[in-house]
Amino acid sequence: MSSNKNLWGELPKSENIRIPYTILKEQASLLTEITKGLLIGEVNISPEVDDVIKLVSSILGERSQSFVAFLRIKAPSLNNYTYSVVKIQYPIKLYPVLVKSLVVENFQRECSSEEEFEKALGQILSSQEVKQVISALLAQIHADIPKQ
Amino acid sequence: MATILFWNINKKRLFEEIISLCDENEVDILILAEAKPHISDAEVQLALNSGRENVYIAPLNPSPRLSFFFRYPAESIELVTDEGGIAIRRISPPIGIDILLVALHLPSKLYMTDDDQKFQAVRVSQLIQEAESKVGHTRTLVIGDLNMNPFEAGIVGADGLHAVMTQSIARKHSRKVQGKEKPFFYNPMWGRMGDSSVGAPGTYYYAGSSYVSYFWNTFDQVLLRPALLDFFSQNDLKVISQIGDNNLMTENGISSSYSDHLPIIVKLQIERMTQNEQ
Repeated sequence: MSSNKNLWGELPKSENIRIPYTILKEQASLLTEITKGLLIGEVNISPEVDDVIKLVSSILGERSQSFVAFLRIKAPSLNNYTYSVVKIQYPIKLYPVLVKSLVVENFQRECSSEEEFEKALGQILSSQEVKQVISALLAQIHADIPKQ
Repeated sequence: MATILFWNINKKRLFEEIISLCDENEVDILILAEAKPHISDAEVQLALNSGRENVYIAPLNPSPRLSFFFRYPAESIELVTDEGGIAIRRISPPIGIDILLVALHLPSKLYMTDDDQKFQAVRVSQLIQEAESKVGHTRTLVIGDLNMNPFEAGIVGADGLHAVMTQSIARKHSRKVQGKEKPFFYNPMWGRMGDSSVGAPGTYYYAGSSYVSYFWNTFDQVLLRPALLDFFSQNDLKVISQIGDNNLMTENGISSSYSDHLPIIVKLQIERMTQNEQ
C-alpha cells in the first residue's frame, strides 16, 4: 500500500518572494519612466561570468551557484551609450546578495534580506555621483535635440 | 599617425611630466588612471592647453576611473560604454576610419583574488564584444593598467582577453574552445618583460616578501585585434622610462618622485586605414 504523506511540509508562496534581479528590473523600469525614455534602465545578466563561476565552483566545491547582474543606464539618442551603475551577485537561495557600486570606489554591501538590499541599492542609485552622470547625459541629449 | 598615451599617475599631480610627455611624443589621445577624483579633468586640461596652439579637449566623460583628453575634434569621439574601470570610445579621426579604443583600469590584487581577476577579465571581454557588435567591426585597441601580467589567466584565457604572444597566432583571428569561437587579441607586451625587453623590464615594480615575487610586472599593456596589426609596428610601442632629462627609474625599480607605474605609448597608422581595409 503506497503512502501519499506530504513530506515537503508547507512550501513558501513564491509570489511573495522578490528576487534581487526583479528588484533591479523594477528600478531600471522606473528610470525609463522618470526620464520619459530619454534614458533607459536595463539589467544585463553576465552569463559568461556565471558559467565560469559555476565551472570553478563545481571543480573547487567552494561556492554554490551564483547569479551576476548589472544595472545599466542606456541613452538611445547617444548611439545607445551604456553606463553601468550597479553589480549584484547572489546565490541560488537569493540571499545574501552582494551589491557593488560601479560608480563610487569601495562601496560594496552584503545584504541578508530584501530590506537591506533595497536600502543599499537606494544609497547607490540616489548618490550624488549617479545623479551627476544622469544629469550630464540628459544635458548632452537635450543639446543634441534640435530646438523648434 | 594616432599616438595614444596611458599613464596610471597614482593620484600625483604630475602636470609638468604629463605636458612634457604629450609634447615630446605629439600625443593625440591621453588617458590617465588614478587621477580622479583627486585631480579633476579641468585641472589637467588647463595645464595641457596653457600656451598651446593645438588644444586638448575633454568631452563628456562619465568614467569614474579614467580620464580622456583628445587632440581631435569633439565629433571624432563617441561614447560607447562605461563600467567601473572599463571605458570604451569610438574614435573617428579626421583622416582614416574609426577604431574602438578600450581603456582599462582594472582592480588591483589588493582588492581582488586571482579568481576574481579572471572573472573580471571575462566581463571585459564580454563588453568589448558587445561594443564590436554595436559598431560593426573589430578594429579594437585595448590600453591600460590591467593589474595582471601578460601570462596571467585573465589575459591569456579564452573566456578572458585571449591575448596571444605572436602576431602569427593572432592573425588566425579566433579558435574554437568547447564549441565556441573565441577571438584573439595580439599582446606585444610579451616583448616588454625582463632583460630582453625593448626598454624597461616592466611597467610596475614591487618587491614582495612572498615566495613568488616577479619584482618587475607588466601590468600596463596594449592589446590589438588582428584587424589593426597591419597598422602597428613594434617600434611604435614604448614603455617610457625617461621624460626629458628625468629618469623615471632607479637602480632598484621606479622612482618614487613620479608614479609607481611607467607610462606606455602606442602609435597606430590610422591614416593609412581606408574603407577598403574594413
